[in-house]
Amino acid sequence: MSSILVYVEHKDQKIKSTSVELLGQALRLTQDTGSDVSAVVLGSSVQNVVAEMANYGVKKVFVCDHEKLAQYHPTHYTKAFCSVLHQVSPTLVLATASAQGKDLFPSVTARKDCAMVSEGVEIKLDHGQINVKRPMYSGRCNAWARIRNGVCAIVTCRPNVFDRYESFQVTQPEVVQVAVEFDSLTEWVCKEHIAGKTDRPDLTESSVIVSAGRSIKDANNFSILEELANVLGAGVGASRAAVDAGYAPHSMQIGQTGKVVNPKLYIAFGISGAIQHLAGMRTSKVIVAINTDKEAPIFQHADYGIVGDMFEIAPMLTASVKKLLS
Amino acid sequence: MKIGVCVKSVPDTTAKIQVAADKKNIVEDGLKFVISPYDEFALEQALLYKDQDASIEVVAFTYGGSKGQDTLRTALAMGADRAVFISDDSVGSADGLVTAKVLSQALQKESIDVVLTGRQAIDDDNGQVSQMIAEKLSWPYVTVVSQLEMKSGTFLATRDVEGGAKEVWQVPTKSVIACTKGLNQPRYASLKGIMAAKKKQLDVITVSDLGLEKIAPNIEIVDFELPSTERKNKMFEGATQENVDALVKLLREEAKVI
Repeated sequence: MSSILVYVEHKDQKIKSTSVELLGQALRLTQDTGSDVSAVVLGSSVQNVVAEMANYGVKKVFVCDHEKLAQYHPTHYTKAFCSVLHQVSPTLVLATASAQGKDLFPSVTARKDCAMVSEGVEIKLDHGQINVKRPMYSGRCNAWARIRNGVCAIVTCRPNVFDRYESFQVTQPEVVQVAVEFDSLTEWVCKEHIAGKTDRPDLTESSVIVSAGRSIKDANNFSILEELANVLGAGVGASRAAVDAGYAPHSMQIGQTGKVVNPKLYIAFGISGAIQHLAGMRTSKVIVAINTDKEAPIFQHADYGIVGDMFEIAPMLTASVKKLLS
Repeated sequence: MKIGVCVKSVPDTTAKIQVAADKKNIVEDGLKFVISPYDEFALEQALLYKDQDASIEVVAFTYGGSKGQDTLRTALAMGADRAVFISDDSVGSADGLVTAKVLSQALQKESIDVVLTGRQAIDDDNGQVSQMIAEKLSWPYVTVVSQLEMKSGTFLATRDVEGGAKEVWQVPTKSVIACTKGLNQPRYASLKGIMAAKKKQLDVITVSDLGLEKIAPNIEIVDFELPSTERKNKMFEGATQENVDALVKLLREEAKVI
């Protein structure tokens, strides 16, 4: 019988919301077939995370708790995850297309000869046949990938693509401790972790994003977007033009040579809508454009738009949303 | 030292993508093919090392169909010493793992000391091949590298993670480094470079020349489709509180996103 294994990421002893999204999708995919859903937790001193797993209705939780896993390391995490695969042989692995997921799973796939689909946005299980939809050509085209029968499929999913799952049941999952002997590495080491300047969620995981183009005119002017972002719980992004002009760091860039984002709401301030920018945000569920130029291409790709000055509109929007949410 | 750079030939970033009649591929006719932009950062980095140390040899590798050779010629014009083109008409059906198996075999055969690649190709956007090559070679890897320093047999590679956070990794030179934007500014091929490239060695080999049997992909692309582009296009004119409130109302009641 087919089974699904979900890779659970956690931060500060809490399960990430992107992983909860995958747990829900795994349960939804198996509700007709009665297949098992299990989860994998890797890390060091993860007992709180394992305890929290009781909220998500899975049968088993495979845990590898080891000091070598305190920080992400590709080779240790690959080894630990492959040890779990050795025990459980799932037909489908769901993971998040996060910085860690993107880095880790190709290595797991190559070691275990699996089939990996990156950036999955839709999954169909049809009599054991797995089909996964994913964007290609920077979202200018979608493709359905079919997994060869009998091969374990590993799908790293875009955050925010699956509907919220409302019927999680509290269970007492069986906890399986996985023992792994880790190599001691002296040549391949992380020397330094440099924290980002912001404690906002990463853009690729944000469910709301506000972003600005070159007409923001100055790095300090991002404060008007920050205020709106604070009210909306949003991430703040920028177009390539704004990054190239030095108003924002590359880590904020959305588009073909920046981040590809998939929020429920994307609000573009003073962004004209070059094809390279659209490549990074066109799958957003709802797009709002604010621009002084009525002819700006972004309006054709927007659900809602206001023709007007972003410096006037942003504060009004902040006030209006604040009033609504209060 | 021999640096291997894997470059992929892809439709340029502004190409209009159309789905072929059988839905198994895109229409390639009329598209301009270029070196995938992230691979250009990898090539430029190798050429910067070569600028400092003339004993370094830079070899560019492409696994591709008929279009791939032209972009390898561009790599030679930018300054690569040699190129290896692994020609395969069925490359279109290769998944990331097949590509990595073929490239790692070719890199091994050339006794490459360092592998530089882009973080992902901008056509299939997989971002898998670098890590898979590393696994096949049993080498360390660092992906999404925006800063790279080579000194006395090691690399210090700065990897961009989430929310502007970074990690600095130390790896031996025998590693796979997957490059991203910010690493450098790729050079243009000069006229002199373009002339010189015509005389440089470009080996064309097949998968079986590498001693590999035909590898069955684990993934088959069965259907391409264009994304739905329908948007509501509701517009307001003028920066007024009334318009802003109307927008917020729509976001709340119609779109249900706030």
